Amino acid sequence: MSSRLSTGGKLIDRSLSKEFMFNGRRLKGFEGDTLASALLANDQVMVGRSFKYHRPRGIVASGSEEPNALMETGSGSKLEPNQRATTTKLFDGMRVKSQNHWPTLEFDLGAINSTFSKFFPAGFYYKTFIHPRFAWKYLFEPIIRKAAGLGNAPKEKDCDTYEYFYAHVDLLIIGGGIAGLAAASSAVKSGLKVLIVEQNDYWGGRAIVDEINIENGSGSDWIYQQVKSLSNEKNVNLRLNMMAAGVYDHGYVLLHETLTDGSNKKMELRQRLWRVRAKQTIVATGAIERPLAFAGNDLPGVMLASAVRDYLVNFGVSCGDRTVIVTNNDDAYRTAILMKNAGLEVPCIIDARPSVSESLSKQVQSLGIKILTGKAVSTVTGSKRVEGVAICSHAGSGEVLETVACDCVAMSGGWSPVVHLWSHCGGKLEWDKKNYMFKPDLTSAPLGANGEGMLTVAGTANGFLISRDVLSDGYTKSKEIIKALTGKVPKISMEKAHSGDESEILPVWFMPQGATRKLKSKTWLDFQNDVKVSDVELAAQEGFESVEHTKRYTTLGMATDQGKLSNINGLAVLSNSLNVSIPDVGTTTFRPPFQPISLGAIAGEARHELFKPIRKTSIHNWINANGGVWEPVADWRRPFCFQRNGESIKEAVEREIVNTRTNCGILDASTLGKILVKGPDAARFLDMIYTNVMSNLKVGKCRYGLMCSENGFLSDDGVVARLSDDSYLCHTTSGGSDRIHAHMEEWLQTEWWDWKVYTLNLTEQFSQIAIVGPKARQLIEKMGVDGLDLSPEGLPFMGFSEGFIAGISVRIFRISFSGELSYEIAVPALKAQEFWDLALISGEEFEVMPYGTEALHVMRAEKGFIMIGDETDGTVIPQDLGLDWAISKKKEDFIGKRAQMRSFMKSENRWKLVGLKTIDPSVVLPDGCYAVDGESNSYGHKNMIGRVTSSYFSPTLERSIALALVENGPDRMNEILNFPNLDGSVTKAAICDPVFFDKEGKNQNV
Amino acid sequence: MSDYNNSIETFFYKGEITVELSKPKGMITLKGDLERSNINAGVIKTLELPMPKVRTISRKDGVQISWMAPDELLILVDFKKVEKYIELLEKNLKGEHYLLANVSDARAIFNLKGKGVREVLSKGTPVNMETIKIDDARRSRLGQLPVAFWMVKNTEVELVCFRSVTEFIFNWLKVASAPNSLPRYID
Amino acid sequence: MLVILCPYCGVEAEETELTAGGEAHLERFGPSSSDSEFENYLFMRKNEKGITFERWHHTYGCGKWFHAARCSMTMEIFGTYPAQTSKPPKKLISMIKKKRPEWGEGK
Repeated sequence: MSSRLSTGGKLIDRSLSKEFMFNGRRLKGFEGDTLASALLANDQVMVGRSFKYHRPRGIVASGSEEPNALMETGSGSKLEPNQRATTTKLFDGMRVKSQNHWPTLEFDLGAINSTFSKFFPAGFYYKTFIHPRFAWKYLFEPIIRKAAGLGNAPKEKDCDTYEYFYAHVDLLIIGGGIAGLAAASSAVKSGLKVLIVEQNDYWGGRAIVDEINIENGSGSDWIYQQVKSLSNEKNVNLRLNMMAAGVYDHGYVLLHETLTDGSNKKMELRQRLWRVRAKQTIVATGAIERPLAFAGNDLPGVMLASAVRDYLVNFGVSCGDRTVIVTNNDDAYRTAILMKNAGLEVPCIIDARPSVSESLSKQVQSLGIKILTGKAVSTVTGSKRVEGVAICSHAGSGEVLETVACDCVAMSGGWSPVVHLWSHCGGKLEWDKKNYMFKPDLTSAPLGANGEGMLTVAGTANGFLISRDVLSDGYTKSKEIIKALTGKVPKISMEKAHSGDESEILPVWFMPQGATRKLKSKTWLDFQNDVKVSDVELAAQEGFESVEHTKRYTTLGMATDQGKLSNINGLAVLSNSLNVSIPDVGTTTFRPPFQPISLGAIAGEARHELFKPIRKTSIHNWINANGGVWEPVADWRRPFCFQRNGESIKEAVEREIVNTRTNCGILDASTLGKILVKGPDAARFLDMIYTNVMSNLKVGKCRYGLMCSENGFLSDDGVVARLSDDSYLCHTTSGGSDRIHAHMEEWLQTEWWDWKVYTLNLTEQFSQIAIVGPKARQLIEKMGVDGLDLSPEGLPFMGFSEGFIAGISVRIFRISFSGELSYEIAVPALKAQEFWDLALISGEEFEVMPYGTEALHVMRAEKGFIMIGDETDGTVIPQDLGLDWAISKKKEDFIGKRAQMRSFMKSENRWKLVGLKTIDPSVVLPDGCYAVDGESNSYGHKNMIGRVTSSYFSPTLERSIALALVENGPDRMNEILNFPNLDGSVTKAAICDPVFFDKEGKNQNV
Repeated sequence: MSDYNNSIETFFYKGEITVELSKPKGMITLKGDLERSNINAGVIKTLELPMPKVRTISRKDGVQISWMAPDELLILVDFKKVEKYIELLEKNLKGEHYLLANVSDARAIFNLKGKGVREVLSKGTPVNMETIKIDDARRSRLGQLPVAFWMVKNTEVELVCFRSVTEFIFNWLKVASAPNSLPRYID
Repeated sequence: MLVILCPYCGVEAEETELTAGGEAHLERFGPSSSDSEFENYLFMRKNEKGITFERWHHTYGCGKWFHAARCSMTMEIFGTYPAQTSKPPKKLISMIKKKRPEWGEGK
């Protein structure tokens, strides 16, 4: 069994015990434990079920490469699924549940899949669920979704907070092992700004466990000293619990910092996503041990040899009383030595190599541990945990020679440098023929903005496996980088690590060499996704020769551990099946993030009220307090209507319309875009920007104008006022002000840069308040005007004046979007609420009422006025909307003119604007519905001949009205069109003039 | 009649730094060729301040010129004196091609005070706040929104945003300066 | 994520402060152009693999349009220059030629 030893454990504090619940059982751990070490200390060897076959699975690793031990921690608003037990800190009162089983971890019904595993080969889903088609959606997928999958998504909102932080450094060092620390100490004196980060919560990496000697002391002492002296340096920043998730162009690196362990029940800042811009980066991320592939290697109790060592040294946890070591290299011997020295049994070391000679093996033998050379594991025995190993010759097919009882198998297939970060932004790999691993090809580094390398790799990550070389490479790489950054070669005292030579590794990708198909189908490559040696071989046999195809077909390396343990073994099996070398098979692409990061960290602060900016006008709070029903208009909020007690929204809208048309309405039109265009060439410029002529507009007058894109399509509209000879105020739509201002600037800066024009977006300087209706003039006069003549002659339709109303400085435009007598009054935004309040007081006797956007929309539709975004969709030209009168024929050029000359823009068959009246006046056509002509095209689709663009019930006309684009519409007056509805019924409507109300304009010309 | 200028909502928060919406200031945008000697001279004469260098401000006695772009300045004066300054500028820039506009109502200014001000802003702007010195000005973004800011003291920044997003920016700053939320990365 | 120097305000702007504007130095064709000239102007782009001249807008910054010479393969930025020009500066061209002798301008 696995247990806590009475002594030892470098990272734990035995004086602080921690209680936690695992699947309802109360267990104990210590301060400093990870969840994994605490579970092992309590003999909880089985921790989950596999993805596909629901096989019992145990902890394999001790770090971020762990494929099996994914847990659900916390509850409610603190629930976090898929937490890796090996990297999750234990805290007092922690509640943990294992995942992917039903009903319990020990008895899982899904495990029946394992019994039938030969019916679930690679590509099973592709092969099986293709017919009948409908069954996938209704039968197979729901069942598979239920059976597969990891943790449950939290049901409550995450109560914690997350944030970003932008940092700029000269040198970023990723990895706080000896290579990283050596690099950081070298950089101290250079004066460079250095950030060194480590994903664990302690410095030193593997050197803490594998006691090494540096100079005359222990590795642990050296690490302690380095960290201590670095902490005192102003230009160096050291950060633990910070995982480098990804490397991107131009030295951009994403770092994920875990700030708290989740033990706090209240809201807290949980994680921080660092967006670092580094001039240079040194990746010193070490290596990950590779599992060996043998039958039964997925049984709980089969672990990486280095992990067994980690649990023993760092946490004082024995992973088994009797541990059999299986290896193809010297490193696993260290595990044997440490276990034996801790008083535990190591019955034997099974070494696939024919012979071993170096110092480690001698040490092992002196401890009385048997070394079985040239041997392999035929199979691991046991059902829910290891009970023994059956040993065979590595050269054979798996015939059992002897069986050794044990409760833990520590395996080592060699090491793979962590090259992920090197590869993220284009670093290439090369095959190391001596150590049988991929390592960075330093001649093809990821390039920065200047075309020079921006990232290098040092230490074990660079393929050095012996501490002596690892430390020295840390110094060397740092030296090169400092020279690249400062131009000077730094003086560095390079300290030395001492280590003996090791004997060579034997490449073993599965064992024994001639394993039978039966053994291979119980030999796991990818633990999380249940991919076996037999699956990869089957894929190769079925023609999946590319590693990228094999990956997708078998799902090898596609689990949440991203194949950290499985990739190399899988590649090797594929290369073996295809009979080509491993480097010729190639690797799959490494992509960020290195480790999964939470959606909370990705969202950062952009949640709740910070999710999306909301723009508010000066009248916003008043509207909010007076029944305003909000709707989003671009980033603005505008009131759809003002709802009164007991009134439905429809009733409110109709009341507002009727009142505006009979008395007086007031509208907050502040969101309207207002762009000031000024300069000697302003008139010439606007003649290019607008389809109509603006240069002949008289000072003091307004003109409605249209803007098109260079592709000819209608882009925005609005009223232009000429303020003076050389200045214009251009009104845009509410959603269009930023876009149109940018459009003007783009043309000015990049095409007509010699024209003397300046533009400024003044949208927010002025609030625009529209006073509309037959009594509008009386209302304003009541407010008290100074310097203004509001008489029809003094301020005619499409004119504007400047003066004072109620003592407030205003610019008053006589323009109308409703067909009524209407004034739009621009007041400084900070005065807008005051003006609004005064208008309401003065307006009481004229029965003034505020109205919202829906009333505005209905009134403009009654008048047949188009709305950008309703009647236009980026494919509509002004000519389609009967706006030919606003397109100058005299002007030689304007933006969009050439495009509108193209044959299809002039086609007779274009869909053009018409009005529609439903035969049944109470029926309102659905927005966006289509008219059909009863014929079908060659695909059997019904021919569509038009579409509704705006549709309302008009209280003015007491009937439904609609605007539509209909093929050749204006020539089809009074024709009745059919609009099919979703329920199969058809609504009939007659084509009519798009101006439904007061065509002659007598309401506005008063 | 009540003074509506004083009834602007108050926005105040004290966390790692103090965040406060300033009382309305007079703000004038000037666009023109700043390289032209007449424009340069007209500005200097009117405001009695040196022309700020690229990405800096120059200020004295409540009057400030902020460099916004190669052809754009933001001039800050007393709220009540805006019209007077615009008149004066128009007089002193006569004959030149320029654009002048009162933008006092279009923008809001936040005053941010405290040791952690650089770190708070670093949560939302890609600007390297460690390199921003007193009198430096920058236009960038804060989270999802455009802002401009300048360093008044080593522990004090003035931040300008559009008036319509005052509340959003305030909420953003509040979250970013929550107690104990600074990474303690910039000294 | 790119960092590009704005030649107007001297800021090393991050990509999130910028807006990409596509190929630079397009010649505008107006009402007197033929259909094919207009089509080329409006729709046809070189989309070079390698050195490309492109437009960038310093949106969250000084608001100016500028041009950058960039390698679309390696993301190397050779230089930036104001947008008020119809072709890249000679100095920049010769610098690129020196760094990439195999590159032929305007092919």
